[in-house]
Amino acid sequence: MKKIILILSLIALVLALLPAQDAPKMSPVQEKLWKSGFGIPQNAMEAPDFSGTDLEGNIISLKNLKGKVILLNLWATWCPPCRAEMPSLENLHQKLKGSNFTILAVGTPTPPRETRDKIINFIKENGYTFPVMIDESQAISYQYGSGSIPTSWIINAEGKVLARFVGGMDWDSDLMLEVFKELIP
Amino acid sequence: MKKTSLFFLSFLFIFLSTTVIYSQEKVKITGKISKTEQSAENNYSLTVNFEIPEGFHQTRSDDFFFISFVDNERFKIDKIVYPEGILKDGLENYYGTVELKADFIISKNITGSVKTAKIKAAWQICNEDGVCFFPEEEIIEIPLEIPGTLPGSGGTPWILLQFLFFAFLGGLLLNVMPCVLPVLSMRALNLVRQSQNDRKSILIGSLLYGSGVLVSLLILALIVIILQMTGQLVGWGFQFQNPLFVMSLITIIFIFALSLFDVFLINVPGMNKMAAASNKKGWLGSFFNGIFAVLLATPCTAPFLGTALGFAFSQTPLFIITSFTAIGLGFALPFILIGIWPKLIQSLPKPGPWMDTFKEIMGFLLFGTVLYLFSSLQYQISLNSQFKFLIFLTLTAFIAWLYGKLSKPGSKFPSAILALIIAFILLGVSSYFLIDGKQNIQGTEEPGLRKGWEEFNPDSLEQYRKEGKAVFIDFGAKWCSVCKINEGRVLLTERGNSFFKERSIIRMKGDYTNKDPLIDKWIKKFGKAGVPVYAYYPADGSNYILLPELLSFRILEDYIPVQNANKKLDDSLFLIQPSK
Repeated sequence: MKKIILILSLIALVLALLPAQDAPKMSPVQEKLWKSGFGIPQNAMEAPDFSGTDLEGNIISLKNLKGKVILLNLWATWCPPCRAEMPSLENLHQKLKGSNFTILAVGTPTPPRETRDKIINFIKENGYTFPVMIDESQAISYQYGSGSIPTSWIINAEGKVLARFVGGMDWDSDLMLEVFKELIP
Repeated sequence: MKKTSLFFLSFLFIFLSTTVIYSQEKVKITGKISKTEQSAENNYSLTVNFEIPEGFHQTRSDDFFFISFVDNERFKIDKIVYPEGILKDGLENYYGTVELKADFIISKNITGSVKTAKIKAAWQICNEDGVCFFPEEEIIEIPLEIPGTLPGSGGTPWILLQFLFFAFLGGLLLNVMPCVLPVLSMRALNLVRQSQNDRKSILIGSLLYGSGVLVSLLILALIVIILQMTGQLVGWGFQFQNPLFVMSLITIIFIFALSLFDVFLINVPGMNKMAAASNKKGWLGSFFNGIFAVLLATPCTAPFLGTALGFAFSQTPLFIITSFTAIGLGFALPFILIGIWPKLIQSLPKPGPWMDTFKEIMGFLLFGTVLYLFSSLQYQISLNSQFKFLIFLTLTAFIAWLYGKLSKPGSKFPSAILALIIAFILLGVSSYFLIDGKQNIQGTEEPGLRKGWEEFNPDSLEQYRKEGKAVFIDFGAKWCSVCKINEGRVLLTERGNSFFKERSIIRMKGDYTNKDPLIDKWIKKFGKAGVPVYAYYPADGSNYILLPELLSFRILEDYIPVQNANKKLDDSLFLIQPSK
């Protein structure tokens, strides 16, 4: 009996420490993502708007991409796991080209070591064709950063964050393709 | 039950992940400096150890894993020696404690002693799950025990010593000017003869002569100090921020430089008679000889003493006195040395035409000084005023030449004094029309030139504060090197631009190139004595925050965090698989 009281009071303590929130109502897609290691927002999460430039200097902003499913990927040229997952990003891009889906691979210049030129050269040298964004103001890496890279976000066509993944991933796996196909309107 | 357990697990994970990740990613840095074994006197070796936490590794990279000196002017690093790492997926990885070594030399071009060296250690680690953390760096200070550096002499006193040394050298060089050297030899000979070769009285005589020199220079210093104080009382600014002061200094030095080319002769009327009258025997005579040596040498020494005086106007009384003492000691040194070893008279350089060449070379040195001063003037007054000032200088040259013609011995002109009066009147008239000391408050830099910045104005500041806007204030000046570093590295960069935009901060710039009284008042209000001053007024209306003089993005970010408008989407908002 004592044990039960102890356990119950411990649980009560933990609950008291946590803000009263509803458990996330996971959609079937989110369930799939959750099972493969993605983090799922506790509450419905509006993706905060951001903007940056593409390699040619054109402005890209999230609010102009409404209606598209977005895979936001934070990376750097100096990060081996980021470099390792890039071929799979390219494959995913090729497979879903033409649909309402876009990759936004965000590079953040931190001069003098990581520069805009370095990012551009890296992409060109490797022949990647998926959209790459430069986060000159570091606002995206600040807001969407998890403290480490690679970190990737899946944002649905309504501009809501569905899931976040920290670490390298095989993006053109059958599972991921299935997930994106389900999401693309 | 599912609900509770999920919460419990997520809470547990967040708690654990924050403690695990953040406590473990800390890399410990230690370093030491030693003398390299086999090599030349100036070679040292720097060793820095990186203690990488368990579960993490560092990949070899020149860009993200390195050591360097913060003061890379003084310490020149050869190349960093990396140990052999463990090859994995084509990358060279390091685990545990990694030692980076580099040989370096201490540049001898830089004076002043060093007791410690600041070393920057940079790393960027990844964990075994394929997650990489952002590059980091730490600055550590390592004690230096290097023979040959001056013990206990910090930077500023060393600079002061250097300055005093040059003042002393200047005084010494005055002795070889054409109107000093012949007189010096003569006086020295007289002293030896008068004292009937009695060593003791020669010594006393020469010391008295030296003190005469010193006293006259101290009188000059005193005059400067008194003028400086009265000047300040009536509101004259003897500072380099005051264009009138700079222009006067330029004119005086320019006139002196002309005199060194014999365009005219500086001649104090009646001085020769007075000097002759004082040329008495005895110790008092020696003392006055010292005083008059300075006065008699005026035609050659005035250009230099005058320049020194001019510069002295902007300094503190203590500095004026010490530097003039140094000049005096230099000036009196040969005579005192002769007093100690009378035989030295024979080794004095023989007067001759070479002295004129020397004098003229010195004249060019003064023209160089004029240029140097002009370079600071160009930011203070408008281009038009600068051009007018150049016309004025040309007229000044003409007036000096005219005065030289009229006052020449044997000239048909009635009197040298009259010529001097005419010269002064002409100078006065031309300066009235041509000297425009009105400060170009905006400098050459229009506020519009600095994109995204507006000119500092207390009223607008107050208005912005009322509207609940954050304001960043930058007080700087053209002549402030730290300001330029900060502008080039942080404030005026593209990243700096976005930094302020992202946080919706109004930027205001106050230019202190010319001593603007309004900005002066505000600098004092911020409790500072000079520029740069960086003050940040948060949007919430709370009091201002002062930032350090030397800025970096890290400092800016620390002092000015991103406002809640751009809230970070951190781990606490997510439900994360505990296994992940």
